[in-house]
Amino acid sequence: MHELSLVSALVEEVSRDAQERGVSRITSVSLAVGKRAHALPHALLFCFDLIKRDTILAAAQLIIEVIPPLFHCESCGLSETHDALWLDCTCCGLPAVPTGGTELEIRGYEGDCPRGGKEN
Amino acid sequence: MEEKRIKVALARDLLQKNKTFASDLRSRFARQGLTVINLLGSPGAGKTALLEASLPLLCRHYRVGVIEGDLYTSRDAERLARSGAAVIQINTEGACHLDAQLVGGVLEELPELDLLIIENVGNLVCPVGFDLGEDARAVVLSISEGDDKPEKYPQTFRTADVVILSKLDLLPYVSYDLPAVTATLAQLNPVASLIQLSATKESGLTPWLLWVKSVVAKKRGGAEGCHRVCK
Ligand SMILES: Nc1nc2c(ncn2[C@@H]2O[C@H](COP(=O)(O)OP(=O)(O)OP(=O)(O)O)[C@@H](O)[C@H]2O)c(=O)[nH]1
Ligand SMILES: [Mg+2]
Ligand SMILES: [Zn+2]
Repeated sequence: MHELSLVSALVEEVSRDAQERGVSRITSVSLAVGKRAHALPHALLFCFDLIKRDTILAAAQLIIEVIPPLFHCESCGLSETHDALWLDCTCCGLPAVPTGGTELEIRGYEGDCPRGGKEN
Repeated sequence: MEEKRIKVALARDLLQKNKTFASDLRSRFARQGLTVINLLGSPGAGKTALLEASLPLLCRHYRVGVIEGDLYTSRDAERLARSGAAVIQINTEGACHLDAQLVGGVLEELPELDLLIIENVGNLVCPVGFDLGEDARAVVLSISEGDDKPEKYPQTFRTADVVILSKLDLLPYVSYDLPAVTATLAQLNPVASLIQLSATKESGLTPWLLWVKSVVAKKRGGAEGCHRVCK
């Protein structure tokens, strides 16, 4: 299961960054997940609850923002977001090229810092 | 001690680690002049059968290596043992795709090669997002899987440089809308060529062999990799 390795990478990355800033406890992490990124939000949440134990993310909540695919038509230049995996341009009917919706991006996190760590 | 609440913006790609490993592999393959093909397809599509049929022919022209990605067994690697190619097994222990780090970890075990074919874990979904530093992607799609697969798994087909429609010998026995599949593939990926063949009957192999040859020639000529419709 693919979500498990994605969530491991997330916990690893956020823990490392938090340690560098002197953050002692993380309260929330936000993640952008493209609709075409092949990762299911509910499976990510499930894996997150398993993996966060015994880390500084133990008390953290995972907030997932689902990003719909963006399509661009190279013939007429129209860009449109659409909740489909592939799409013919609604303007000229030619196949549009998906240009977004594959994101898997850690947007950021919030936490507590005993020594008043560095925000950015 | 006073606690302060902080908010950190990261904007960090979760797949960055694989992208970094893959780009290291790509430079390494370029230095070695090694052509690498990532072979994808659903479980049982006929990836290993295609290699069994074509490796003896490819080995006449190139020093060929194969990396076999499999969840737990070494059956496919054993099937290819007599092919003349150097075969290495990677067991992913449950992971649904190979990643660049896994591939990088076994390269030392391979001899000097001209061509490396990586048979990915049988899966039409997960391997898509994991670049292995390859020059080209070949996707095997078999007649027996049903004619709706390109539509159901568009991304795999979009990133293909060639689509191999396999088990063509079964066409008389199953209901399969070949023109519809051809049309869907042309729409999803207008630049990938479609090759129809039967691996076990060893028929229609020539276009596939010529395609492999063209990928090797392109790499040796220093030209850019195959065109992809999307990343
Ligand atoms: N009739 C027919 N059967 C085929 C052909 N190619 C493969 N098969 C059969 O399909 C089954 C699966 O073939 P494999 O080559 O093992 O498929 P694979 O894609 O490597 O499967 P995994 O590695 O398990 O994902 C085997 O029983 C093959 O004999 C073909 O061209 N025609
Ligand atoms: Mg196989
Ligand atoms: Zn248009």
